[in-house]
Amino acid sequence: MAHLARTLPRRALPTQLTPYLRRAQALSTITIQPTPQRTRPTPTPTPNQPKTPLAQLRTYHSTLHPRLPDHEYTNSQTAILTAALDHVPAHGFTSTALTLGARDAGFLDVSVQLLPRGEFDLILFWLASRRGLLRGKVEEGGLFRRIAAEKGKDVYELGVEERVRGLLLERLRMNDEVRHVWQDALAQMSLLSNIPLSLTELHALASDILTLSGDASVDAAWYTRRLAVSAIYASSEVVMTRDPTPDLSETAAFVERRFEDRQAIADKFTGLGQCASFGWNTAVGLGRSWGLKI
Amino acid sequence: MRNCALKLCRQPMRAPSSVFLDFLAPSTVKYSQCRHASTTAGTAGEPKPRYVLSKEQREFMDSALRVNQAGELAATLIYTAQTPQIVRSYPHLRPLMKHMYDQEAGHLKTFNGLVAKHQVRPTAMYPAWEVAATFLGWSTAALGREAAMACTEAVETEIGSHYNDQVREILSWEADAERRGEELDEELKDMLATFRRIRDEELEHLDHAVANDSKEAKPYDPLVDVIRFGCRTAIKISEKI
Repeated sequence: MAHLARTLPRRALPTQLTPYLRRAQALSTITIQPTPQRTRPTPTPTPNQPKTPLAQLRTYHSTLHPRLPDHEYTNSQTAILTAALDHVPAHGFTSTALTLGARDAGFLDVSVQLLPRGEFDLILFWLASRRGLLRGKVEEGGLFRRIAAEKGKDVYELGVEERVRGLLLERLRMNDEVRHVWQDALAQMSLLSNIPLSLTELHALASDILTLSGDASVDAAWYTRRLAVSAIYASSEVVMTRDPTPDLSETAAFVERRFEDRQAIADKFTGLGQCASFGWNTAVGLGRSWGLKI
Repeated sequence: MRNCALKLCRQPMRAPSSVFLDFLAPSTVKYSQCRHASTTAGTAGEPKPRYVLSKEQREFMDSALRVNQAGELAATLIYTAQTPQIVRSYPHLRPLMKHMYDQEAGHLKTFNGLVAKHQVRPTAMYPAWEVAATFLGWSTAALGREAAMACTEAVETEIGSHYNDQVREILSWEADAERRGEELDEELKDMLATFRRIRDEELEHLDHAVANDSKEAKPYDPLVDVIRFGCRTAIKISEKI
């Protein structure tokens, strides 16, 4: 299959492809984070095995070092996928969209076979690229200022919780243009073989949202917060597909309620923990006062 | 005709390939530029290029920070659990226990900061280690002062050698960087200094433990062996998850 990539139409490359590459470049913060890999991929893919996107789970991050390349789609795959995203609102996450995208990018129709997972690759690319755009928006700095302005606050007064909520809503709004086809995508993602990658991507999104919001939990809360954000995001996506309001106000209300629920559950657990530790300390103190060597 | 078409198609791929790779692996390109520049530039006064961490090195730092955080968490909890019982029978040990606890709490704070800063995932066994460490501290203190000190000795021996391994690894990177005419970035240098300081403090605790009759603990060998084995297992687990 790889020789197909090499045997592209001649004129297609410099002229038609460059806009897509430029756009792909704009999405350079894309992260697809599927299964970790034992060995580094060889630069020359084996002829019969199309290169599948693989990237590592999040590792040591430092501002002094550039981010590792987040996804391992090849150039041609990225070009096809980027072009295909334009056709998603009209054709859904289907092979038609992929074919049209390949044509737009100047490839032969058959080159959609460069993408071994087909439509699911398109869905993953959509998710990953939206995540990259979200990160881009935050790093530009305008997003939190806007969220703060909507609440009538200064950007420094925004708490982590409010930032998380704002980012999650913003990410949901990015799905607005595809919401009529999103149920199909959700169905694809819930297929048994696709579940691991979908969950990895969901975790990556939750992790990104929390990190960008400035969450600095370093204990078990790291896990519970990511779980909570993932759960809220996933359920809101389902609600969004049935939301008739044009500005997603029902979804926004749903998200608000879920965050309130989360807070209620968290309070309950904190209360239980405090109660248990109080009882335990009392028991130990009582024992010690009786002269027990504990 | 097919051959002809293929010939036409193959030619242009050479030229644009660099354009393609440029955006796909911006960091790779940067690395190679760094390395190339470093071989020629060697003049004094100019800041040396920064040593770029490979994926394996990042993974090493990832698990190192995770293990260290878990280790310091366990250490603080062990001392917290030991202190009341020890101090009750041996009030003169109060300042020593407080001193050791304060140092461990400082280490934990350092590593919590590093874990957050470098976006390292904390260990999934966090609650389990909390319970295990508290139990370890409480049970050894219940066995008496000598057993508690033997526990400290076993734990600090393991932790000290673990920090030593990490320091050695980072030093090997430094040597590698030296060979290339590069230097480690500030964060890594700071971290190296921190690891060394913390290692020395842990070994100081070891000395305190030996000075306080840790060798007198009654079933000394089994006790220390079990605790050391437990520590090594915990380190292995925390490195992964």
